[in-house]
Amino acid sequence: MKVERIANRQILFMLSMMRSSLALAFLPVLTAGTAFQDAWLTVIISCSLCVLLVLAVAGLGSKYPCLTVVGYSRRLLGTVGGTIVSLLLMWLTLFIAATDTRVYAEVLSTGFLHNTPLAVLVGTIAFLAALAASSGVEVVGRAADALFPWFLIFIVLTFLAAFTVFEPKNLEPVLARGIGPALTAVPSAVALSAEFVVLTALLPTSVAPEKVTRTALMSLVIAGLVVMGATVMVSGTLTPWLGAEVVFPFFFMTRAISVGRFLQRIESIGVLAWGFGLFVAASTYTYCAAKTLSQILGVSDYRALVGPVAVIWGVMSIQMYEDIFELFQFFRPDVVLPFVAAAFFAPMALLWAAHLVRNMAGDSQSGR
Amino acid sequence: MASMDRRVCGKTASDRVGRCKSPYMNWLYRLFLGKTNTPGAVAELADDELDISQREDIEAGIRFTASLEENLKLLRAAAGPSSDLVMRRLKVGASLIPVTVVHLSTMTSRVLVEAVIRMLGLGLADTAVGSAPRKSIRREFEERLLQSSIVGEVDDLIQAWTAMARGDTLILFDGDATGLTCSTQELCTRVPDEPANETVIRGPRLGFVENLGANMGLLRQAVKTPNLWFEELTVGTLTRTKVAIGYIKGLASEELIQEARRRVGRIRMAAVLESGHIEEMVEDDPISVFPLVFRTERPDRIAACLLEGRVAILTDNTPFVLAVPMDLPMLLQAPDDYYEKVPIGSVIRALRTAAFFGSMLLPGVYVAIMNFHQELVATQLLLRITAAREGVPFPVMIEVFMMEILFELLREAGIRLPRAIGPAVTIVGALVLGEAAISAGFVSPAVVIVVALTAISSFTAPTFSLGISARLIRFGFIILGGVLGLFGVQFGALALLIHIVGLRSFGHPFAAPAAPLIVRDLKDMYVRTWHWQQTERPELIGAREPGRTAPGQRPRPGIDSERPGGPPGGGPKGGSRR
Repeated sequence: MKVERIANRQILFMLSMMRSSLALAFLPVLTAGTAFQDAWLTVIISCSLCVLLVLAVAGLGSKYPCLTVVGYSRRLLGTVGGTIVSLLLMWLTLFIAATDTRVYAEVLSTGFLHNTPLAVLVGTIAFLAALAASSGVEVVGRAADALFPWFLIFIVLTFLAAFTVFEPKNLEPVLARGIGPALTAVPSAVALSAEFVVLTALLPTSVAPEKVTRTALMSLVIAGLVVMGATVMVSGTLTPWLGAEVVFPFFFMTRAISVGRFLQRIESIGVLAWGFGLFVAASTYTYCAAKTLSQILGVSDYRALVGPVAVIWGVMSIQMYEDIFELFQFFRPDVVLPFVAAAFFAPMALLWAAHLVRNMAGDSQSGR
Repeated sequence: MASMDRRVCGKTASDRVGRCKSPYMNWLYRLFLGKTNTPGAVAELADDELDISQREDIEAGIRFTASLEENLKLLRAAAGPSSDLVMRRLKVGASLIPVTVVHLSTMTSRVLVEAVIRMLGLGLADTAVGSAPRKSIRREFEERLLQSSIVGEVDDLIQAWTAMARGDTLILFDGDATGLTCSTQELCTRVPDEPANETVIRGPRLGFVENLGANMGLLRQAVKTPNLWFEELTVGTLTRTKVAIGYIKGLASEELIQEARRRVGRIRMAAVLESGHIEEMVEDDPISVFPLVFRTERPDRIAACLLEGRVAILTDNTPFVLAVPMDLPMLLQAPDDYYEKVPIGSVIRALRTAAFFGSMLLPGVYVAIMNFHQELVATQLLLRITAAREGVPFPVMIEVFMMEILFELLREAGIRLPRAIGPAVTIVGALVLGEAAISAGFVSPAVVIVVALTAISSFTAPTFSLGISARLIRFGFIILGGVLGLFGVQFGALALLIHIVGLRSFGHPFAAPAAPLIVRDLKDMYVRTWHWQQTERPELIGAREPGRTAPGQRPRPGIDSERPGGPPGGGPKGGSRR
């Protein structure tokens, strides 16, 4: 099978869009829930903590640049242990794909396509993601290349348009209740960084695996800026109190924008940008899950598993949550943090521990 | 050339056209027919029951003999009653050696053939060459008397016929199994003029013609380096069409040249009548609606391709020349862009690009908005559109679909009708049908405006092959917009994106330099920068020799008009920053 390689720039775009998409949907409301006008501080703190997570995932991958998580986890934990950890991380990838897609489908259903069944919307996105993933990671990378500028342009346009109704006074007083409220929402925001699990499968496809850590950190910065911009704009436009009440604050904010008499509703631009991000994210998740699963099962071509993987997360997306409120509940700090800790932090900690023990034992063999 | 013919046409006819015979039969044909004496071959060829592959198998095995009469019988048997096969018998030299000048009168210049006959008759009479021994008279004649720049030797029927079919004259000497060919061609072709489909406001008024040699000459006229190389192949077992692969040696990558050679060389088909046949046989993805091989009638465009490091494929009998590899921006670039002032050319190109995407998306977006997202339209505008739709019996999607099909029919009729009445019919059709449809309440004026705007946008595509792709894709967007609204349009756009970024042309990404993103090459994509800024060739194509224009050539005023007598600061700036 042809060896697929993508540039680190493409990984940067993929991760940035992936990280921004879900955050655009939920982050302002999750943070503003307790922080109100200081929500921007939550973004800064959570991004800082995410740096550690990125270093953990990309750093471990960089030690084994030619191997996916299946390869190095089996090397570190043995065949059985490695397979269990790989399956867990693959399942987490599917779970995130399902959740991201459900959020977007809910936005479409709530805002535009009231009578269209969720299954149609989710199925369409899953189909697109499968189409892209089966064309290969190079195609996904090139799609990210083509879409990222438009993603940024649409987001910036939305922000600029939002300035017409933006009220700076809504962001005051700064830290009136201290830093405590801003900290309480940090766990949810950090939990969203579980998206970086894709690096466990994506890193070996890079043309420069040794630079992937830096790339991932840059994506964190880009996504952080986008999310902070969205948070500030939502708080300033809707007022922090309303921003904390509505389910999709960013979408709600774009609906409030009115530029002149002709251009009255521009929410489609924001949703379009979000859609681009989700498409790239879902394609990447599908590729990574199929790649990991193919290595676990010993299937030579991951493309054979792309379809089944897309079907699985598509079904999960519809079945996992009863409605949008249940989905919203999942992102509460007391639910999402233990979940991500069990499904992501713990396996990564285990792999790191095994790696360190192995190194201390004097076995410096790596996957190079 | 002859050896090249043999290389390409070297397989049996049944192999070449894909007709299966058993290996045993093939062996028998080779064993017996390859060694058949001339009378046997003549008799075989006279058999009316032979089909074309059998005739070709026999012809492929025939070699000339020392007997002039037998060779002439062979030629006559192969050509049958064709009246344009002319055989002029002569007796030349001191010992009156029988010689025959053979040519196809429909392909040759009578004046040139008569000059050859004169050379044979007069040149060999009472001269030292004419006294040469019978065995060496052909070589003596070729070396000392034949006044032709293109001369060849042939020793079998296929070589001889292929040469004559290109306008050469064949000279057969009695007692010699090898004949001479010399160029005497006079082909029906036209004077190069401006291509009707690729007109420019500013730029060369030259277009390719239906002659390979003339087309190669047009390229040489534009690119005079000796490193412009052409490799000729013959393709098509029956048409024996000449195909030339052109490239600048040292600039085009060797892998690309090799790939072009391989793809053209492996073509096995009976007929190649136009470069479209070659295109279909060499493109990377035959199912895609997008053209993956660039085609044009303009020598300046092909010259520009060659100078970037691409490879041209020229086909005899057609003015359409191919260039590979191709990328999407090439289809959106018009030659004028490079000849006009940069700001103007850039704005026009950006407008054209937007119009192209608009022509694909506009009807679908209109249907989506009117069906699902009416809140996106300003209230007054929405009221006007809705009021105009009052009484229209069809859903918006059907309405737009109908009008688009009607428009496509009119456009097709306009192309097929004689040039004098085509435009009149289409204009009348558009006006009468559009007006009548609105009056009858079948369609709303807004739909007519949308369809007209789409049509105008589609006409801005500088390449017909791209415009026709957009026409097809548009219908998909109408359906998606009607079923799923803007989400459907987005779905369609993303599916199209996956398709486009996955396409390759001779291994080169079709969507480059947008995907993969090559920032350096973006300065000649949606807009173009000045020639003095385009110092490097496209990264993926011209990697072998990246430098194109010497840096530091930005023009700067060298003379201060307010200070007559010389430039300020000691001399002109610019041009020296290397």
